[in-house]
Amino acid sequence: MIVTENLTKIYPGKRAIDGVSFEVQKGEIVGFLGPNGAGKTTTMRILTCFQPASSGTARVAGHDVFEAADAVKRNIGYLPESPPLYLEMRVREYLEFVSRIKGVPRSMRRQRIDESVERCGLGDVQQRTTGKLSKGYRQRVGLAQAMLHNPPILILDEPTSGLDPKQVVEVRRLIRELAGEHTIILSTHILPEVSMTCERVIIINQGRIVLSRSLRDLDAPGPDRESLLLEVEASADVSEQLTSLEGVHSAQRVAADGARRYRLLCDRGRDVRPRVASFAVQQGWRLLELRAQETNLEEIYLRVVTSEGGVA
Amino acid sequence: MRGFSAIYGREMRAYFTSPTAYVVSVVFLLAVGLFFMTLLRNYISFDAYWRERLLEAGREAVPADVHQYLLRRFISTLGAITLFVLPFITMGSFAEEYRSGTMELLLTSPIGQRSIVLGKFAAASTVFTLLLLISLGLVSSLFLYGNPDPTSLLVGFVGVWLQGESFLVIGMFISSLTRSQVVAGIGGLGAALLLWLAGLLGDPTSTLGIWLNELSLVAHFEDFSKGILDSKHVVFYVCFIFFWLFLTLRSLESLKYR
Ligand SMILES: Nc1ncnc2c1ncn2[C@@H]1O[C@H](COP(=O)(O)OP(=O)(O)OP(=O)(O)O)[C@@H](O)[C@H]1O
Ligand SMILES: [Mg+2]
Repeated sequence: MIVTENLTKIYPGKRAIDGVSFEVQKGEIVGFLGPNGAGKTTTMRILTCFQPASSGTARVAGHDVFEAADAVKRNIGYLPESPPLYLEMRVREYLEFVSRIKGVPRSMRRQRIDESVERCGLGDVQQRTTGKLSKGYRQRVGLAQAMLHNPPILILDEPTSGLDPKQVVEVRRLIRELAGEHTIILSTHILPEVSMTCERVIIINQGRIVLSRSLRDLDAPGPDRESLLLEVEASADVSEQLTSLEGVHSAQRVAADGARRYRLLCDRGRDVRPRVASFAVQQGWRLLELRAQETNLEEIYLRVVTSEGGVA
Repeated sequence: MRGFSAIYGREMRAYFTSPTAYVVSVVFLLAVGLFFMTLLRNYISFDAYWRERLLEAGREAVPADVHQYLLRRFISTLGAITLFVLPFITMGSFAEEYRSGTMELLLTSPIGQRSIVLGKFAAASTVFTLLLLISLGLVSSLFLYGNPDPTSLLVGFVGVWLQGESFLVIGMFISSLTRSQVVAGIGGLGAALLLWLAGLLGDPTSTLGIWLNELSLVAHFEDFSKGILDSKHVVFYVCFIFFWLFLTLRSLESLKYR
């Protein structure tokens, strides 16, 4: 649905993004993760035809964002970083206006508006002036605006920024609900957001993509492996004995200090913990810790964002 | 022109719900009313003096020419009032959209940029036309007491209208350059003033001076205020308006590259 190749945007004296290439498949929900100033908004503005790229190409729903901007605009719903509201308008009035500029046929408008209002929980505030709504409600009106014409692709720039924890949860739930029928790309600099809402993460730092991976792959070191964390008290290095165990492929020492902490790669779906535990007892090691380890997104993010090159 | 009517409708609604438009309208009508009253009072005392002089000279006492001594002055004054008021009607047209981020909504929607510019222009122009019609109603009270020449009055108003539309497009253009309404309002006033009086910039005997005078808005306005309808001037204003609308459109397009 979205394919970009070598997108680069140069502002006077500043390379905002540099050779960004990625693909988003139909129905996927992708998190665009990066620290402030990474180039998330810039990329989204190019995808929505708000700004042209300095070089590179982007195709959205099969149309080039530069050559066929109108066709692209028809296929996307966009929530900019700050919800684009006319503060003097009532919520319903505003949505009516948006439905007109988005080209929703007259006969469908009412139904589309009712649906967005309901999905975004705006029923009670329909007749309120948007300028008098709280930040969270404004954000919801922004979301309602983005999904109003039922576009196949939603591009959401920091959809949960500025919301209180309860609203954050609600907005994330809403996004997950939308995920079934829409292809969604959302940006954030909050890690848990990605693991809670997305299927795939693209990490961008200083204008470059440093990692693009499905979250399932991140949780496991390989498609048919899972990892365990083991800590024992033993007199010598025990990685060799561990590797000899059935179902354990490798054991890697992960502690820098004297502790004997190991990361074990094991067959996925075959819980080897009981075997490891009894093996430890049998060998006379004292078992301090044994647990399934999720490869933590946070760990990767920090590593990726702090190391200059990245790990792609 | 997809989106034109939606943009126009929203702008109109914004004018009718925003305090700015009301304040600007009230100030405009107040200025019009006050100047009309003053000019009328001047005319009445001049008229009395005029008849007296005629009688003294042993001639029949006819009233002083209403057009010459009242309407022409009023039309010129009205032109000047529009100069000072209209930039504040258009100041928000783009600046406010940039500031609030709604431009991002408009430019990522499948509507043409031409519809945006023309929709906004049509709305500002509607407000201005309404204000002018109210002013015309005020002046028409003269018909209750005498019979001024309606044609020259209408020609004068057409002149004010054309010149005012020119001020509106200048104001819109300036508004398309900035995120600040204040800058847009005052900058628009400055730009309008400059183009109104461009003739003063050059020595009127030099070629440059003649050209500048030809390009100044007020030079084309004089004939209207005299009650003369010359297509040359109409063409000038129409070209002027299209030229600035075109520049506004370009300015909007260049936004992408800024
Ligand atoms: N109009 C502009 N002119 C010049 N530089 C710009 C402009 N817009 C963005 N930049 C620069 O481009 C870089 C990327 O900005 P961008 O807004 O895309 O970051 P972001 O990932 O969205 O950050 P945030 O999380 O803060 O929203 C930043 O260094 C920013 O300063
Ligand atoms: Mg951003």
